[in-house]
Amino acid sequence: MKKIILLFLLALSLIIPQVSFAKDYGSIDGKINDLMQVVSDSGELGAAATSVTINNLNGNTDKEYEMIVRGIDGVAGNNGTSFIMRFNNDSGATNYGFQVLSGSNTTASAARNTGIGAIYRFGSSSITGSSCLGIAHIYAKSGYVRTVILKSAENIYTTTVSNIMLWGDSWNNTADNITEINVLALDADGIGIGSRMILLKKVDATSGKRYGAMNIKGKVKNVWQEVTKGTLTGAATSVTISNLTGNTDVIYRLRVRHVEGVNSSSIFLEPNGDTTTANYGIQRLYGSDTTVAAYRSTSYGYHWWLGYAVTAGDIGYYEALIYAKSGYVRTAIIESVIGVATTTITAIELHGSVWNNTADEITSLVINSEDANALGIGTFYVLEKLNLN
Amino acid sequence: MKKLLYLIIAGALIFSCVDDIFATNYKQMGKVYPQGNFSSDCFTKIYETTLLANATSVTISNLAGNTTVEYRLNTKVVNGYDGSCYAGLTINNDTGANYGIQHLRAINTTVTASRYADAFLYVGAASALGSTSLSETLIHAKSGYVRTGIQGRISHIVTTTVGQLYLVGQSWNNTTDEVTSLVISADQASGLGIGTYICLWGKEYKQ
Repeated sequence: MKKIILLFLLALSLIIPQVSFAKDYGSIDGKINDLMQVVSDSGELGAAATSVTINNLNGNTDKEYEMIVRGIDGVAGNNGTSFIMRFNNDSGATNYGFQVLSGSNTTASAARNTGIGAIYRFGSSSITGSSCLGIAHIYAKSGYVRTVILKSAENIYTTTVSNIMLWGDSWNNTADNITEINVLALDADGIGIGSRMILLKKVDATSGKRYGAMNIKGKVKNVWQEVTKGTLTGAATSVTISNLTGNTDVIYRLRVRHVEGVNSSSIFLEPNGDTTTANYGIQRLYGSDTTVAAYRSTSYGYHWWLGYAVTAGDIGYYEALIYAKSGYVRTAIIESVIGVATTTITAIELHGSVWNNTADEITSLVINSEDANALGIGTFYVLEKLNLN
Repeated sequence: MKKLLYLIIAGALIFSCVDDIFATNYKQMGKVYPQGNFSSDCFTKIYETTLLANATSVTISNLAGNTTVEYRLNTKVVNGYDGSCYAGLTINNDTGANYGIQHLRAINTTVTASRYADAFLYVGAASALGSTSLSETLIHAKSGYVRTGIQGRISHIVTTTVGQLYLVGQSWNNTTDEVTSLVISADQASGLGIGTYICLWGKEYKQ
C-alpha cells in the first residue's frame, strides 16, 4: 500500500508542476506561438543585389509582419536609387498606392499616389554608399486591400539625414495569399553591400508541441527581448546602459518614459557616451499645436535627441530604433511624444538620426540630459535587442 | 527503498520545474505552443480577434496595466457602416474628455497639425462601407503618471487610395487607476465590420 501511495505521489510530482507552475527554461530556439519572431534575416549582404526575396510565407496565417531594412546605396557614380517592396512580386504598375508625410531640411510636405508599382519606401538615395533605415508594419491577411505603415530615414551620409518619412501604403489585391515579400532597388545592384533585410512575423505554432506555462530565464532566439530596464527612484542627469555588444546585437529598440525633473530640458542619447556635437546629425518632422515644421542639423548639440519637456513633472514618451552594427554610420528612427501635461501634448515628432562613427563597436548607450537631474523620479527606460544570434 | 523513492520524487519535482536554466546555448524546441503564460521579457500576444460579424464595440478585459506596463495595440478596422464612421479607443471605458491628442496629418498634399482633448483616441475612420484603416499604438500603461501613447495610423483606404495618414501623440489624464480594459468602439451601430482585426501585445516578465 505504501508503495502504491509513493508511486502515486511520484506521478503527481511529474504532473502537477506542468499544470500548476511555470517551468523554468534557459535559452530557447523555436517557433513560439503568439510571439513576433524573425522569419528571415539576410545578414549584411556581401554582394550587391537588385532584389531580395523572402518566400514560403503564409500571410493569411501570419497576418502581421514587420520588415526592417537597413539599405546601402550600391549604385556607382552617385546616381541614386530607391528601396521599395512588393508582395508576391506583383509589379503591376498601378496596383499600389501611398500617402506620405515627409520632412526634408526645413520643408514639411505631403504627397499621394494612387497608382504606383510598389510599396514606397525604405529609402531613396543620391549618394553611393549612403544609408537608409526603414521599418514597415504590414497587415497581410487577404479579404481586403493589404495595408502598410512604414517609417524611413533616408539618404544618410556622414552627419546628414536628408529625409524623414512616414508612409501609409496599400496593395489593391484582396484575394491572393501573400507567399513572398520582395525588397527591390529601382536600379540594378542598387541594394549595396552591407544592406540587410529582417522580416518578423506573428507566429502561429498551434500545431506544435504543447507546454504549460513557461518561464524563460535565458534568451529567446529571434525575438525582441529586454536587455535591461529601470525606473528611477531618484532624479538623475544621465543613465548609462553598459556592457553592450552592438556588433553582435546589430539592432536595438529603446523606449523612455521621461518624467521631467527640472524645467525645460532636452533628453538625448549618446552611443559610447560620445559628447562631440559634430558627430551627430538629425532630420526632424514635427507638429506642435497647429504648427507643422521640419528641421535639419548636421552638427547637432542634442546628439541623438529624444525629446524635451518644458515644466517639471511633464511627461515625454520616446521610442528609438537603432541600427548599431559598425561598418557604416549608425542610424536611428525616433518617435517622440513631448511635454505631456494632463491632456495637453506639446508636440509629436519623428526623427531620423545619425552618428557618423563607422568603426567603434557600441558598448554603451547613455541617456543624457541638458540639465542636472532632468531625468526625474519615475523616469522609465527599457532597452531591447533583436536576438538574431 | 522508501528513501530512494523520496529521492526520486524530490528529483522529479525539481527537474519537472527546471529545464537546464544554466545552459548558455539555445535549446532547440521546434514549434512551441504554450498553454500558460510565456514569461520572457518580450511582448507576447494577449488578445486577438477577427470579427466574423459586425459589432459596435470590442472590449479587451482582464488586463493588468500596472504589471504589464507596456502594450502594443494593432488594429485593422473595416467600416461596417454605410457612411461616415470612426473607431475609437477608450481606456477602462472612460468616456470623459480625458484624452489628449497632438497629431500630424497628411491628406493628399496638405500637412496639418492639431492639438485637442477628446473622449477617445482614434484608431480608424472611413466615409464609405468597406473602407479600411490600420493603426499601431504603443502604450505606457503603468499608473502614477498620465498614461502616454505613440500612434501611426492610416485611414479612409479604398483600393490604392490611402486617404489620411497620422502620427499621433496621445495621453490619458488618469494617473491613478490601473488599466484593466481597452474598449474599441464605433460611433455608428455595427461600425466595426466583418474582417476587423484587433491584436493586443503586452510585456510578460521573467519570474
